[in-house]
Amino acid sequence: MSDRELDQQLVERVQRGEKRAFDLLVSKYQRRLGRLLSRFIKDSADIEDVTQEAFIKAYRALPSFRGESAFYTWLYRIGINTAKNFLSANGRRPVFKAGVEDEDGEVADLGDQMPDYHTPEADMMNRQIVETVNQAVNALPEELRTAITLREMDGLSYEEIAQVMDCPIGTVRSRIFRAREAIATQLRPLLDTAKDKRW
Amino acid sequence: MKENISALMDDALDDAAAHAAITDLQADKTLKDSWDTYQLIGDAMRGGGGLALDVRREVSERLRDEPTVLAPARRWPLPARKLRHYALAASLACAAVVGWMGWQQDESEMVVAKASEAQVFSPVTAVEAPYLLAHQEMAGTIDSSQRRVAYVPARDKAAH
Repeated sequence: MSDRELDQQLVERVQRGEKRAFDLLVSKYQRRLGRLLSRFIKDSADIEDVTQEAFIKAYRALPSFRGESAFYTWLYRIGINTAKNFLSANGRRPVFKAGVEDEDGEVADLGDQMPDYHTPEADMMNRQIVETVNQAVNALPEELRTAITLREMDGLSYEEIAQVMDCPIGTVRSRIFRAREAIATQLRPLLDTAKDKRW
Repeated sequence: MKENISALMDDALDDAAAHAAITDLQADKTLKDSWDTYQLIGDAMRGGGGLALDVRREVSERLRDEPTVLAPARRWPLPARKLRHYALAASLACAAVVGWMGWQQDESEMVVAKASEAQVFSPVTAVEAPYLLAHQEMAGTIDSSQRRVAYVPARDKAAH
């Protein structure tokens, strides 16, 4: 099942009344949507509010979503409109305007080029997460590190990774899972500490 | 079980396994936590900012007050195999109709051809030939070869 099909499956579950399926979409896209919105909105608390609002609007609009475009493209459009309405209502102008949509009208995820949130707490939390993940990745046995890196950073499929690493697909699957678990073990204490904080 | 969630994220499960994994995810908080953490790890490794943003709880709380959305079931496009079968059946049906129409047309043409044949050759019959010849001679528009042919009575043709 492809990434788009997975999203479609989750959407259809929500459309059948399974609200919890929407949580999975929120978890998957909240950071990407937040990074996109930070092109329009400067204040980190406002970004968080608009991100929330965009998800709620998306939930309400889900009955009309028919899957003609990818879910994230549709979600991003809702996010951008929500941000514009927010800025308009508050008499403010967007921080950046350019580079949000490509020539096909698709919404581009420009997260890598975006400035991070602007509060010191958010910056610090962001740095800590990145450092923890990097340290955990570097501490992995080589075969786990290679597998997770090829998957997450290079976007290779399990079949391609199996060819690169000259091992069965089942081994790739197991290595990536073990790598994620090892990194998650290092990350969880930091996330537990942050749970009740608003960044 | 967690390994399936990891594989689900990577598009590495078939449809049935993916459906089962999603159902498990919705029911099991530990699995849901793993899903959340794996997503965060991926975002962090890809170098994205905004990792501190977390609106899951707020959105979830607000959704409790929202009416449950219900949409009519979507009609998925037919699988390619079924489409091929339909296309083949349509082609055969089309070929049969065209063939039938062609056959009908042949029949009509044959009838017309026979009728024309009868009209063309009927004047040159034994009964009418002397009458026609007499008039043709008066009109002076028929050459000698035509006159000869017209002059031979039909019943005598077989003898020649």
